[in-house]
Amino acid sequence: MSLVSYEFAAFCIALLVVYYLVPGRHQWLILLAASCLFYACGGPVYLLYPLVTTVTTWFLAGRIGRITEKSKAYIKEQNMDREAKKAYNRQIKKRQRRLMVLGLVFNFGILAVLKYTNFVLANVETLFHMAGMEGEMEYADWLLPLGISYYTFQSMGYLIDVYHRKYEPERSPARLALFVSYFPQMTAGPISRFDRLKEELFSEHPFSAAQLKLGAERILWGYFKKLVIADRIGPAASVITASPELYGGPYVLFGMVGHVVELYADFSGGIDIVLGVSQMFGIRLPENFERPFFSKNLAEFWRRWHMSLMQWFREYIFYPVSTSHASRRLSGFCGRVFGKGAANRAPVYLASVTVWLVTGIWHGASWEFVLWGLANCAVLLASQELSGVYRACRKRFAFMNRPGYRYFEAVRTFFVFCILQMFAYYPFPLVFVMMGSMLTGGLIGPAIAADGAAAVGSVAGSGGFFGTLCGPIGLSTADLAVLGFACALMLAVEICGRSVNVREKIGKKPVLIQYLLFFGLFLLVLTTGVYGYGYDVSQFIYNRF
Amino acid sequence: MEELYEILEDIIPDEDYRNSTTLVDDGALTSFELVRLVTQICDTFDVEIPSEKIVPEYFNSAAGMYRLIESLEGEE
Repeated sequence: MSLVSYEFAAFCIALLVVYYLVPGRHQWLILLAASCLFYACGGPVYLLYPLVTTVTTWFLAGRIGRITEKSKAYIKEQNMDREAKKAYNRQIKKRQRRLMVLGLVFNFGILAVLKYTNFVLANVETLFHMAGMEGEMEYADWLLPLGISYYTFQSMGYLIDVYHRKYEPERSPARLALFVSYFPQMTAGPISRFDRLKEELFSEHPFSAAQLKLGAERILWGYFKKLVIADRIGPAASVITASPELYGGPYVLFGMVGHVVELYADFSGGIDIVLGVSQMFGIRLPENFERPFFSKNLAEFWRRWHMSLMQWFREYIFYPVSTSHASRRLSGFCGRVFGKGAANRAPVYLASVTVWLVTGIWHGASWEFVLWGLANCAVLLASQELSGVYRACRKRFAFMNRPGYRYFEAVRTFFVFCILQMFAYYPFPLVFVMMGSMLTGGLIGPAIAADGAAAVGSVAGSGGFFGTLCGPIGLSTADLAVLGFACALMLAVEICGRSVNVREKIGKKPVLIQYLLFFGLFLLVLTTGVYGYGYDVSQFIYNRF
Repeated sequence: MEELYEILEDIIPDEDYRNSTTLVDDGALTSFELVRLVTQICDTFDVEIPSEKIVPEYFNSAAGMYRLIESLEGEE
């Protein structure tokens, strides 16, 4: 069931009615039933996947919790001194670690098999062909269960937290099942932590017209980003990036920027819908974006983009890897061979490369995404290495501390991200060719120059300079005008959002103005959104994980 | 506290780590140094620092770090 569908709207309305009619203490059960129903819409067999994850996580976390309880009671009973307590705790931790690792291997194993089998097979096939062996591999045609990455990461985060004794394990498998499968976040995240989400999920939520209104506003804003911006600019950008031989020069720039605008409008729009739906049920989910395009560097950008995933990587991969025994041994070795600087760097380099390899492969099972991850890692590490130079420059040059420079930094970060994204959709060597084409290429690609007249005619209303230029990629002058207005509106809201909460500010205006703004946005989506009979709303990009 | 100063002297010898309260905010402790610092604190004091405790609140000053170490030792 797509977030942009009449079925989803009807599902939510019916659910809201039931949710607010039942006694508050049973509301979570309604959400659990709804989540199962939502998931079963793709086929009842797909319910098995989150069910298996829930059962294994519940069982193993429960076992780890019981070992903790027993060990605490034993220590108290034996009245151990500090050293004996430490030795005993180490033994207990070892037992618990085995259970945690079992859960991680099993659940990430399911994810890896479903998501990466074909990638591995394709590489094996290539190797066979390179060795001169004939034959074709038989590829798996499994469908990836909806949101498998999100619920796997979320439940494994829970298992690790229980192992680290951050909180008690959940006794009820049904309550854990709701945490794993809460339907709004199954589509695009965010990845929540159990100790924070459980308060929201299992509390009573009396009906609140204000929450309903705020939720509806956020959903509408999400639809605006998805239908008016992402689904309009996305296909045009894809035409360019899919045919690098046809589109050079300024088209590369348009494709590069368009792709990033689509990615942001699509993903953050999806998250707006998810958070808005959840808010209607009185449940607040963590934010996933914090105006990332206002970041002063790439490191800050990645702290403000897909925040819940990056936080997960930081907490469960970066710090554990950088402080692991292997990392310490590597640091010691580098210190002995290359000196103190290398000893300092080794753990961070090892952890950063690990995180970005995982980030890359998480975003897509292809070498392009692996390279995209490593390219991000290289820029981040270079930026880290140069941090001393930046600090010295800031002290030396006063203009670098002025507000105007802040805007330059934001624009620079935007283009650094745009360029790095090219690694995700162009094959590796081609990235540099296309960058060259962007900087030196002519106004339009040679093939377009030849076929331009015919192609231009294919899009209604594609007259004028911009229409002629954008006709071949499926955008009319009207489309360009809508895109320009919509992007400016999105930017204006983001700028306002730096100092005030825009929805709360609108909420303080007279009711008439509030409804006029709401209705205006609704009309905007209705009249300029890309949808309708015969048009298939494209899937959210981040639904694929 | 002296053991902690020794670690800090080893990692950031040029910084005023005894008095500074902005070691992370000012960039004296970047992730390079922070990871090394955490590792050495864990080894020296025999504690485990959970990742959610690796935040400026604790690592901006030597006093904050010591407070964290004491709280972790108390949890053992």
